[in-house]
Amino acid sequence: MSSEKPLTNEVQDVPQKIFEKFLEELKNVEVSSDVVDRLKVVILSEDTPSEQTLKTALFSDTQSL
Amino acid sequence: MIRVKKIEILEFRGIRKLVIDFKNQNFAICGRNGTGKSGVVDALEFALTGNISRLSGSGTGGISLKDHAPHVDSRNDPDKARIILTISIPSLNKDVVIERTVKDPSNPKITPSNPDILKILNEVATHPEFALSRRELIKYAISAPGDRAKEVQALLRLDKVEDLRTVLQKIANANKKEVPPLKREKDDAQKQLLLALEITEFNQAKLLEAVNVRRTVLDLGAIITLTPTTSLRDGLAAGASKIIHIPKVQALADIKKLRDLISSITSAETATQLLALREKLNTLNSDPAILAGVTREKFLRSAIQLVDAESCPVCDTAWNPAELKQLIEGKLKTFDAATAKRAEIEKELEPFSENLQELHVALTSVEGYGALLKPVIDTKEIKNFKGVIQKKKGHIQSFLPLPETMSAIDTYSVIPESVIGLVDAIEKAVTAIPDPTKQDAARDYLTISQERLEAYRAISLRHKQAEERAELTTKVFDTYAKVTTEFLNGIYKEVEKDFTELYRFINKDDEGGFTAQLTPSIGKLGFNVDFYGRGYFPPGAYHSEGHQDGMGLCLYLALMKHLLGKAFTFAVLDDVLMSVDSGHRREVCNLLKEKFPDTQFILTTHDEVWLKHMKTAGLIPNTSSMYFKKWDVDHGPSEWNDRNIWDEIDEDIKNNDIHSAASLLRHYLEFVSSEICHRLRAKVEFRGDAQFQLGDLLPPATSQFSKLLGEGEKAATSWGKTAEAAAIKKRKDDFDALVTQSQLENWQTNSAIHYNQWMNLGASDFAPVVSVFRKLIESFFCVEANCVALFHVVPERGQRESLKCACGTININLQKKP
Repeated sequence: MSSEKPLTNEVQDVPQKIFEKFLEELKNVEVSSDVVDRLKVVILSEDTPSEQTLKTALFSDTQSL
Repeated sequence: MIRVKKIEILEFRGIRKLVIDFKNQNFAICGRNGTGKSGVVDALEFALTGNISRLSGSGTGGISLKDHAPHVDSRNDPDKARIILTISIPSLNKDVVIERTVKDPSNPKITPSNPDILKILNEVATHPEFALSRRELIKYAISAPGDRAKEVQALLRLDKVEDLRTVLQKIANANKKEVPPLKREKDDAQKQLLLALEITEFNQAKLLEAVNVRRTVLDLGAIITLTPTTSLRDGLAAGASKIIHIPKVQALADIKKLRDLISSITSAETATQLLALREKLNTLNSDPAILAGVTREKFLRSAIQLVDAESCPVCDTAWNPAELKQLIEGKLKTFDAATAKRAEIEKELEPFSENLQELHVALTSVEGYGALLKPVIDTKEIKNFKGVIQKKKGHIQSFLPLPETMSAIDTYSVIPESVIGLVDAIEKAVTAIPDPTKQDAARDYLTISQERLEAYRAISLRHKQAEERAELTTKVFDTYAKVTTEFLNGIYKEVEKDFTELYRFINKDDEGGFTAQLTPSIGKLGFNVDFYGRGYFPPGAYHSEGHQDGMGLCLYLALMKHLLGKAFTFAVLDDVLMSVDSGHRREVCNLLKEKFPDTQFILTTHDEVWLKHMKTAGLIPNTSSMYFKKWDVDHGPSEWNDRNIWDEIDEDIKNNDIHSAASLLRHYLEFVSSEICHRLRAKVEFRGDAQFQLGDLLPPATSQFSKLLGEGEKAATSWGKTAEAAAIKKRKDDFDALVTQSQLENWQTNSAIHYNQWMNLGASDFAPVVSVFRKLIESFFCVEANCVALFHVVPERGQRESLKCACGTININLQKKP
């Protein structure tokens, strides 16, 4: 194949790559590093993060809903 | 990831007992429909994933793995239904045996087992798409964009990405919705504060100026700066922090405010505005088309707010929020005229609902004074009226149903006499209260102002926090949407490029300039392909069924290449590409062989000729195939490995079934002659109907081969390669002798030896014929065990350069020394 991207031995984990890029990008739009760290734990460790765990990660240093 | 070496299938689906040695290489299973081929595909999937897609997908209600995976006679004993699969893991250089039973599909016995092996097996288990059937292949090519997006998303494991997007959007929407009511509450609190402060402009200087006038009266120091914790009544005794009497000045100000509002609401100017509004509502209400549009538009707008959840809030039916949202947005576009009309009137209605809210707040203040008066004034009528106001406000804000809004407008200026009477009575009683001393008035002023300032501060804080939450969650969702879109666009661009390249490869004869467009949008994946330079259309629009099959396969391969990279080492193609014509099948074989040399393909087909194509193209080694001849419920498929056409003919002769043997020999010779002519670039008398018979094909094939060997001999001699020239000459002489023995040249003149007469021969006469043709045909094949492919001329067009086999063992130069 003439695709410029070389083939790798790794199976592509597309969701994982998107999540990592998303968390990195959050820092560029001035989301606090605490929020990013908490989101990272929830998103990368939980198979399907629930609404409540995401809310806790987003708001635990301001005010919970 | 893996390659498969051997499978043992016991009491599984339609199979009683079957052992297949895949030999770690490409393998084909051929058999008519219903002979048990798919049972092998199911067994492979089950061994690797613990599941059988065709027993668990949509439309399989009432069918389950546990009840229906075992052979029907072992359905009550699922432990008997088991698969023992031996695989190799190239990256670990290890062979692993997986033994899985239908009784306990989640706990296979894996030997040997270690974390590295388990990791790879887990990866395989999450990729059941290594098996592709024609039904699934079509899903990639000609399904609706929404369905295709689902299939591709499932293949790329994007369900998790979509799930997170849904939740983040839900959180962002919920937080955005919280802000406007809090803003209204904050504005109301500010108005009440200004009223208490007796100022009209909300700024620190004006506030402190007014407050310090009262503090001077009470000999309290002036407040210089207003901080978030400043108390306006700082220095007053703590006991005076609650008003237990009526603050006359404030009460009269509140009553005046109420009266001003009532005057405004009942003024002639308001009446004129209401009349104009009513006219517009009448027009709207009397035009059924616009009214229907407005009604549906409003309904759809409400619906779009509710589709954040994963299911319908009414009946709990699961839905795809993104897809549904896009559908609703599409419908909303048809109501543009109605939307504009509704938006215009709603804007004009806004001040009226705001006035009603203000009236409600003002009535609440005055209502409170009634309870403090002595004697107490019963304000029940005010309370009831407040309920009416809330209802009217609700109707105006909701807009629909229109009759309720029209009714609210009609009664907008109606203030019950009883309420006016109560306001009069309260004002009279408050006025009768002795005027407070300057000090008392100042104390009441500071106390009430402080109360209202605290209320304002509290609601301001809540509003600010809500705004911050809305900003954060919107930012998080927007970032997620942006990253996801960019990432997926990147993936789809790569897949689009690879797909185009693969499809061009198999259709280079007529679509060498083919291009395609994969266009992702929310919840959809558009797929348009170039049709001979006339524009881009969906694959099903103009392309033939065969081309669509080719597109499905190419899109699948492009996706798998992207998803698995070098780990794409194994795939099962279950009876795919049935609609592809013979010319393109050859190219498909070349595609799989050349573009995916490290992938082991297990292919099933019900078409024997297709299998022959695979073999002669060198995709399937001659010894790596299996034929399922027939199937019955008691025994499962009857098969024989590496079916050898010659053995079968011999068997027929042995059974004195010359008719069958002759028919088989003739059909096989027709097929293989056609392949030889193609590969050797032989000149065949053209037939527009393509109905070539053996007599049209075999003589040109043998003649061309002999000619090529002659050219090879001359070329070798010209280069001084004497030994090579001698070897080629021997090959040619042997071949020519076989041609002579076959009496091909005499077919046209001697009907006694014509193939049409074979079936009239006896066994003893026919056996030598078969023997000669067997030797003759085998001369066209490479004898290497791993090759056994037909010789072919290189290149396919233009000046002939060499005669080769697939493995390169035979490579006869055809070009003489200049």
